[in-house]
Amino acid sequence: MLVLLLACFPALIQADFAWSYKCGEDSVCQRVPLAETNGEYIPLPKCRLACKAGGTLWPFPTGEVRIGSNVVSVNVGDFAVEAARTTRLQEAVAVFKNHFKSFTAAGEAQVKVQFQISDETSDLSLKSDESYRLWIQTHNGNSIVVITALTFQGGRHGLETLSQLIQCEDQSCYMAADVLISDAPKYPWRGVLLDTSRNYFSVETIKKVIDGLSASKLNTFHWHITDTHSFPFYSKRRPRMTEWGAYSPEQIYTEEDIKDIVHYADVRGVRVLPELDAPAHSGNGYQWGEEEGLGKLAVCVNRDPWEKYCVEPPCGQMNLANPNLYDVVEDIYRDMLDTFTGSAFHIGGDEVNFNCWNTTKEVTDYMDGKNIPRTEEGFMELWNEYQEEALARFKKANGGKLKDMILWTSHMTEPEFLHYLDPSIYTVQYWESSTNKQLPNLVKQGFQVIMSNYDDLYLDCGFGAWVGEGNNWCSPYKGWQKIYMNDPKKYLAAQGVTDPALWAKIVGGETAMWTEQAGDQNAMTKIFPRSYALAERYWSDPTTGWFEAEPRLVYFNSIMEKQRGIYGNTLKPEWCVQSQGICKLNKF
Amino acid sequence: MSALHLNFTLWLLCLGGVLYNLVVGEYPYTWSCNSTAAACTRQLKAAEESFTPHTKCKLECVSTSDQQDKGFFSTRVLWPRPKHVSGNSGKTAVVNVADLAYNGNTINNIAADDLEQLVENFKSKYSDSNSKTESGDAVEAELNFTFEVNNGTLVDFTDSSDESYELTITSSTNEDGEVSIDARVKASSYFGARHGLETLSQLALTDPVDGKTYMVTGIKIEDSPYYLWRGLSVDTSRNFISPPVIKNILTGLAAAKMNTLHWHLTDSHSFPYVSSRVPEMSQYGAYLPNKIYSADDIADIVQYAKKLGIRVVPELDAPAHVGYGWQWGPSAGKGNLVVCLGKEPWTEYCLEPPCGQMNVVNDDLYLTLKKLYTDLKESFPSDWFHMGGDEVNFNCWKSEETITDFMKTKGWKINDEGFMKLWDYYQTKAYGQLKEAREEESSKAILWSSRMTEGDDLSLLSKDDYVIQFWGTTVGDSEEAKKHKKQLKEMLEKGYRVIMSNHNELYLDCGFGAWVGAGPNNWCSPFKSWHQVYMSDIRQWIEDEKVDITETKAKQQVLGGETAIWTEQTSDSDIIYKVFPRTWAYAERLWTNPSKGESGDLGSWEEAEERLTHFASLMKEEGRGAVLSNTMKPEYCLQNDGKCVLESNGSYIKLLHPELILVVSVFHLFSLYYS
Repeated sequence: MLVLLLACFPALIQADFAWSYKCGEDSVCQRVPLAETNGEYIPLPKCRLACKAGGTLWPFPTGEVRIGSNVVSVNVGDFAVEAARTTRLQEAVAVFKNHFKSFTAAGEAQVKVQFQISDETSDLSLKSDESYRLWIQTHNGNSIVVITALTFQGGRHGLETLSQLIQCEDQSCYMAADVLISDAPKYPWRGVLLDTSRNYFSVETIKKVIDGLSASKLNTFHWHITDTHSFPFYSKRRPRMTEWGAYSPEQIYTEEDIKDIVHYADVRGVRVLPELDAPAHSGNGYQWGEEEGLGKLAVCVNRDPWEKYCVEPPCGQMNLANPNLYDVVEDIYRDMLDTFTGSAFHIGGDEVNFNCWNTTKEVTDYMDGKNIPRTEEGFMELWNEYQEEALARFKKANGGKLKDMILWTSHMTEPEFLHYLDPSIYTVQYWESSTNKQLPNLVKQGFQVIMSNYDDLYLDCGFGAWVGEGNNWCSPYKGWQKIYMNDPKKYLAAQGVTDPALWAKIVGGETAMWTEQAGDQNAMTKIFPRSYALAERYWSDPTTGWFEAEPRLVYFNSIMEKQRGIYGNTLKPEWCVQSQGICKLNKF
Repeated sequence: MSALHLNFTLWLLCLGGVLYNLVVGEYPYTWSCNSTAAACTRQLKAAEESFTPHTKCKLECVSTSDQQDKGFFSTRVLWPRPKHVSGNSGKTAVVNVADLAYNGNTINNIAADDLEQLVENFKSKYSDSNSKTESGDAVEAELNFTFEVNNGTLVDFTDSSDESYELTITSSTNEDGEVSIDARVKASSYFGARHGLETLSQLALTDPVDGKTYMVTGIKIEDSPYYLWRGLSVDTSRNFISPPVIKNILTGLAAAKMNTLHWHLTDSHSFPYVSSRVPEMSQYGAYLPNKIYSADDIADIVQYAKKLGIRVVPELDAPAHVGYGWQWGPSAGKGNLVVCLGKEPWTEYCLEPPCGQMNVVNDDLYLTLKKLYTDLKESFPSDWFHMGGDEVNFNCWKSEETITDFMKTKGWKINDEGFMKLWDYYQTKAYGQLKEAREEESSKAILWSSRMTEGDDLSLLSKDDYVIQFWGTTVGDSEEAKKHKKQLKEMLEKGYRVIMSNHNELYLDCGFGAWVGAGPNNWCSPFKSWHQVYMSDIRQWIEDEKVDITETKAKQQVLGGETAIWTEQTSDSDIIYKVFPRTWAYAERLWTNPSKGESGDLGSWEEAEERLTHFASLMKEEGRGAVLSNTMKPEYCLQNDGKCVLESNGSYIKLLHPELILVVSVFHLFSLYYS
C-alpha cells in the first residue's frame, strides 16, 4: 500500500509529509502525525469510510443504516453487474463506473452487483416511488451488492449511495464491506431552476448542473428556458422566435440539444421540467408578428422608462388583445411537448404588470370592447382569460390531456384572486417570502406547493446590484445553512397551520438560479454546494440542524470536486476538511 | 485542477469560437450610435440596411461633447480611463493585426528583444480571421507600429519605475484609396511601453459576428498613473491556490494596468512555501505533499509577473497568524517555536480556528526567521517585504508560562502594557533579522494596521522603515469604527505612508454564508459591490473627514491600495469570480482616480458602468487571457447601452422589491383610472 502511494505522489516521501489520519473520539477523522499511525499513511477517504457509519453519505438515508467498520479495497471497473435488463439501466451503470475510471489499482475483493428492479421503464411523477434497499456482504474475499427497488429511479439512487460507500485516493478505492441501507425520499419534488434567458448557458454547463443534481439525488432540472431578455428555445413550428429572440444565432437550444439533455438527465434519475413563462416575462423573440400579418404578439417590448412597465429591463408582456397570440403559444407548446417528455409542465405566470397593458391602446380598446373595466379586478379578468385559453391550448397540443401543471405565485395566487385557479390542475411554485400569508392560504385551499421562497432559496442574492448600485434586491446571500434549514412545516406552523395533513400539501422544493449575474463561468459556484443542502432537506427532512450535517457536507463537496469535477463555491479552509469537527463556534 | 482547466477550455470554445461561422443574413439586428449619449443600441435592421457590427459601433461612437475635447476621454472602450485623450477620429478601419509591420524602436537600446516580445504578445491577442474578408467588403488597412522607448530593457518593477506612456494613432489614404494606419508608443521604460500596448489592444477589437478586427484610425493618448501602488492581496494559506490560477489572476491584473501582487503566502492554517533552508516548514505545514510552492513554481510565477509589469510582494505574517508548519521545534531540540497551536476553545486565543502565535521569547525563532527571510529574498526580487503584524492575541501569550516568566524577568507587567512591550521586542528583533537577511541598511517593510499602529504605540514604528496597510473601516459610528477612523487619520497626520485595504470597501471575501457558525453571513457582510470598490476614494475621505494634511503630503503618503481576497471560502474553483471584475473597478480608481465634478458625470460609477461591462466581456476572450469574471449583467445589457439603468440615474435608489413595484403600479393604475 505504502509502495503504491510512493509511486503516485512523487513529492510524497515519508520524510516530506508528516501526517496521517486516525479515527478519534466522537467518530471523527483527525489529521495526526505519522507516528500516531505507526508510520503508516492512512488516507482520509479510507479513514472516513470506516470511522463513522454513513459519514460519507449525502443526503442521509431515511430508513435503516447499518454499516460495518470493515473496509475492502476494490476495483470498480471490474465489478460484475447482473440483471440490468434495459439499456437505460446499463447506461446508468456505465455512468457509475465512469466516476471511478481513474482508479486502476487491483482490489482485494471480487465484487458482484445484482439489481432487483420491478420496473426499469418507470417515469418520474409526483407519485413515483424512489425507494431502494442496498445490501453489501463480504465473505472470503467476495463481495455481493444487491440493489432492490420498485422503479428505475429508486435503483439508480441505490447505485448513487453505493458510489458514496466507495472512497478513493491515488489509484486505490475502498468499499464498506458490510452494509444494509433502506432509503426513500420524504418529498417527491426536489430540484434546481436554471434561467437560460438572462444569460445563455452552454449544453456542457447544463449537463454539469444535472451531474450535481444526480449525485445528491435531486430529481428535477427546472429549465426556465425563455424570458423577456432572450428566447433561445428553437421552435421548429415558429423558427422566427429564435431568429428574433436569441442573443446570437449560435446561442440557441435546438431540438437535438434538448433531446440530448433530456436523455442525459433521464439516465441520471432527473426529469427536465420546461417552463414557458407567460403572459409577462416575454418580449424579445415575439417582435415578428406584424411582419407576418399576425399583429403585435407582445407589447411594451424594451419600452422605457422600464420602471413603469415591468420589474426589470427589458420590459415585455403578451398582447392579450390579439387572438393570433394563442396559435403561436400553442405551436410553442407543441414543440416543447415533442422534446420535453416529462410528466409536468411549468406555465410561468409571475409578475404581471397592469400598467403595461393599461398604457397600450390596443389592449385597453379590447377591454372596452368586452366591457372589462380598467380596474384591478378587470385586469385580473383579462389575465385569467389568458390563463384559461393557454391551458386549453396546452391540453389540445398534448392530445387532450393535461400534465402536472405548475405555476408561480403571483397576484393571482393571493387569497382574493385564488378562485381563478383549480387546485386539482395547478401545483403552485411558491417564491414569496416564508412569512407571506399566501403560504397557509394555498395549502388550506388544497393546492400542492413547491417551495422556492426567495428568502432562503434564491441563489442569485447577495451580489452587487446589476441595475443601479448597492446590493441586489434579495440580498443578503443565502448561506447553505439557511437553505438546509428551509423546513416548510416550520413556516406553516409559524402561521398557525399545524395539521400534518395540510403540511403534506408541500410536495418539495427547488433552489432558483436566476442569471442576470451568472453565466457559464460562475453559475456552478452559485448553484453548488448550496443545492446539495436543499437535497438533504427535501430527501431526508432531517430533525437535526445544519450543525450536525456540516462535516458530511464539507466532505461530500470535496468528493464532488475531485471525483465529478463539480467545482462549487468553497465552504471552508482546507484545514477544516482535514481537521473535522474543529472549525466551529463552541456555542453551537 | 486539470479537470477545471479542461472545462474552462470547453467554455472558451463555446464563448469564443462558435460565433464566427454564422451567417450574418440570419441575424435581424444591427447597432447604431446615439451620439448625444455615446451609446450603442441594438436595432432591428431594415430590409436594405447594411449591418453595423457592435464592435465597430462601440469604437466609433463618440459623443458630440467629447469631440470638443474636454481633456479627459472621448471613447467608451478604454479601461482604466487614460489621463488625457484627444483627437479621436470617431472612425475605424478594418485591420489584420497578424500582418502588423513592426518598425522597431526608433531610440536605440540594447534590449530590443524585450520590446519585440511585447509586440508579439499584442499580436497574439488577435486571431488571423480577417483574411476571410469577402469581396465587396471594406479593404483592410495597412497597419504599422513603432516604439519610441528610451530604455526598453525588462527589469524588476520598483518604486522608481516610470509607467507613463504616449500612444498616437494616425492614418493616411493614398491615391488608390488605400488606408494606412500608424500607431506609435512613446515611453521611457519597458513598463510604459507595455501599458501603451495594453491601451492599443482596447482600440482594436474583433467583432464576434463578422469576425473582423476594427481599429480606431486617429487618437492621441497621454497617460500616467495617479497612484504608485496598485494591487491585489491573495491568501494562499486558508486554501491552496494553484500556480496556473495565480497566473490567470496576473493576466487579469495586467490588463487593467495593476502593478502589484501581494502574496499572503502563509497563515495559521497551512504553510505551502517550500523553504530551502527550513524544509520542515512545508513538510509540516502543507495540506498535501503536492499543495506546495516549490522554488520552480515561484520563479515561474515571478517571471510571468515581471513581463506583465507586476511585482510580487511576499508576506510572511507574524507574530500572530502562524501555526501549522512551525511544530517541528521540540523534535529538533529547538523548543516551541509557536504556542497556542490549535488550542481550544479557539475563541479565547485567536480570531478564527486554528489558533497559533509565535513563541517570541525563544531565540531559535529569530534564527529561523532569518533563514526564511533569506529564502524569501532569493525567491522574490521585490524591493518591498510584508511582515504581517495583524491580530495579535494577548490572551494566548498570557496562557503560556514560559512567556509570562520571561516578561517577569524583564520587569514587564502581565497586562496590555506589558504585552505591547513584548510585541515591540519581537518586532524590533524581527526587523533586525530582515535587514541582515536582505543585507540592507534599512528595509522597506509593510505592516498591517493593528493595535501597534494605534495611538501612542504607533511611535514604536519608524515611519521611514514601515508603510502601514490599513484594513480597518473608513465608515460608521460604532466605537470600533470610530477607533479605526481615528487610527487612519492619525497615521496620515503623523506622516506615515499608507496603502489602503479598508475592509468596508476592498475585502472581496465578504457577503457569503458564514464558514464558522450559521451566520447568516460572514463577518464583513454584505458583499462589496463593484460600485463600492470603484467609489473607494481616500482623497475624498481625507477631505470629508477633515484630515489635517496638505494636498502634496497626501499625494506622497498615500501610496495606493489593494483589494484583498482572503480564502477561507475561496479556492481555485471560485477565486477568479470574487477577484474580478471588482479588482478592475479598483484599477481605474487607482490609475485614474476619477473625481466627481471633473467634467460632467466623470468620477461616478454611473459613467464607468458600461465601460467596465464592456471591458469584462473583452477579457473573456481567449487571446486576452480568458479571465472569466463574475457576470455583471444580462447579455441584453451588453448589447444595449443605457437600457439597464434606473430612471433616477445618479441617485442612490436600489432596485425595489418586485412586490412593491406591483403595488406601486397597481396604485399608479388606480390613480390613472380615477382621475
